[in-house]
Amino acid sequence: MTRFPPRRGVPEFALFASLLRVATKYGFSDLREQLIEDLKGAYPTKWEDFESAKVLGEDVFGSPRPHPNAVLNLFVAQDIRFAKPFASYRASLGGIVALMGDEPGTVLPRNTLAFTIYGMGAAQRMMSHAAYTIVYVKNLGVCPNRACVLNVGISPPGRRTEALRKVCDVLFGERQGGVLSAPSLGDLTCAECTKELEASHAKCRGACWDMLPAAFAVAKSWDEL
Amino acid sequence: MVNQPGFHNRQRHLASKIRSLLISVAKEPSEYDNITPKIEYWIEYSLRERFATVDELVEEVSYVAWDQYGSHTIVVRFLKEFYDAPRRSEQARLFVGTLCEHVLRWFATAAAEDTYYGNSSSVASGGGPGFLHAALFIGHLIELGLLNRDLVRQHLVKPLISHHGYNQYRHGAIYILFLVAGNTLLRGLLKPEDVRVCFETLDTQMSFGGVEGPNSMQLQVGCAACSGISPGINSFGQEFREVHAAWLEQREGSQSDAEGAGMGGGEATGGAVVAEGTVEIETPIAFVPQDLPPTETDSGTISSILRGDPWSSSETFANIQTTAVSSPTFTISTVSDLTPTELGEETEHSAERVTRNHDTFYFEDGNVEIVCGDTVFRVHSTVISFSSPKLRDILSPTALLTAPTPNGCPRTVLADSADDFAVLLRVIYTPGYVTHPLNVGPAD
Repeated sequence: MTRFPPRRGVPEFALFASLLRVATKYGFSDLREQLIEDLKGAYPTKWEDFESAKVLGEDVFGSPRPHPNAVLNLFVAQDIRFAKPFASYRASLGGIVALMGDEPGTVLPRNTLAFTIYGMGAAQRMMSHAAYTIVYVKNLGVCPNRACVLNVGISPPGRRTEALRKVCDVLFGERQGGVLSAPSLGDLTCAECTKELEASHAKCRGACWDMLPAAFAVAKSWDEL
Repeated sequence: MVNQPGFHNRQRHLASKIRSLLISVAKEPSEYDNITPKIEYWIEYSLRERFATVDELVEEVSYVAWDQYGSHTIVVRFLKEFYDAPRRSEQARLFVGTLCEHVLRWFATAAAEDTYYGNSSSVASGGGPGFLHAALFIGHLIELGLLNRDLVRQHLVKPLISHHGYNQYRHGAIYILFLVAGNTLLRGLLKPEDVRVCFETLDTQMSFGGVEGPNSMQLQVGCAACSGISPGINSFGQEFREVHAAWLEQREGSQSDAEGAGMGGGEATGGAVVAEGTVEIETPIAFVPQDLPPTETDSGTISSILRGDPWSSSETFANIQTTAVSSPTFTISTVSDLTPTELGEETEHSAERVTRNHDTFYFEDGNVEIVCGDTVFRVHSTVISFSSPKLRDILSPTALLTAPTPNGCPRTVLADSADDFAVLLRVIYTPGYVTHPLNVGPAD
């Protein structure tokens, strides 16, 4: 076999984890720093970096895609603090059952598991609040534009609820990337309603992003990381 | 509450329950997740219902923490999780803080009080396992952020080693600190200049168990550990070895001077009592810690307790109430009983394993064999240790002096998996293998 294998695009997780472990253990500081540096794009600490990232979370490790718990475990064990909030968030997207996976490498330490569940709950509460605001406070459902799904006027409550359900399903329904990912209402609503709804949802996403470090008990804010 | 019928029975029952659960988890770490919630519950319950005070719980937990089964690792893990749990009561957190303070006090008191433990066989074995487990316990507390390293150094290590009056327990404590100074957990507690003081302090005459003579055992083991002759005990860094070499040189010089002058002894070197033919034992002096700093900016939570000056200026370790520091019972009596893990040891030399050579990284012109699991790597020590101070220590000529040489070159064993180590070697031997950033930058 050749001593000089071709360069890889993205190291797979097993390789990355091995390297990080031994680099830390034996004090290969340059190598460790480089490996951690490579993570910064996929585990951003700034909202702008998050929005502009091409690859996020464990997807950075390519195929086979590692379990988010395994990635979180590695970050906890190697104390990669800046990446912990987002890694916890990614792990929480799988829900409680996935968090409590028992496959090798995916079993989270008790504290990490507890904080991740807590953070997951915090994100869901924030999302619920945003949905409440849209449905109750903004008084949707009276759009004059006939092309808009919210053009229900004084129709019976059932129809109004149906319209809201469609909107909330897009905004808050389960989708890859969770509450932080940007939804697309498409042509479901008119331009004006879309603008208003997306602005409300963006506010929710921003608030969720800001609270990630505290919700997952890593730091008080992103500034600390 | 105290006057209620059955209170004391209940109190004893709970204390016994907490202790036995801790012992269980120490014996069966695999049961950690099952047992520790119960311990948490009973501790909180005892405090809430006032069946026990914080100090009483500290007694129970510290009894297990470093006296029984070498269970300091598991107990510290529990303490950390216990402390960090959300919605933990302030009293319960105070309990963890008090325990951290207690271990420092115990260590210092046991080292300073020649009379307090005078009849106890627990500490009398040269400071033995009690000090060792307590030292490692402190190390784990530091590692997990429950104790501040600088504060431990300032309030325990420095006063301990800077006091030169003879006291067999303090010598034992210094010896233990010295022995474990290369341990990963305790690294940084002893500076090179402190190691020199340790040598000087240990290089004294002593009276121990009715036998008078040089403090040879402790000194010899310390020297061996430092010079890498006995890597199974510890692995010191290069800076410690340099201190050791310089100290040896100076010591030999001063000895030859004394012989040349025909002196009978009684000369003090660096504050230590160096007597020849006679034994000079100074009266034990109360061990007084230095003043605590007014503020501390560390993020450690427990350090706030230390910040509050738990040792008032009028208090010394000599007059600490006996109830505050219990006399533990030890089950391990010699250093040789300690496991490599307890000593932070990560390498060993062994040729008695069934092994296979690695397909790629077994170079015929390599000068050292490294065994990971059942795989043998034969590599070039200068190449692989070029960027790693730790590998440089492990693979230094002195460290490999006593290593077996089954295939003509020294062989050492590392605790890593063969896969992990192979990946590291691939990076080292293959320029550019993983030297480019991952393609995860911002979108174009």
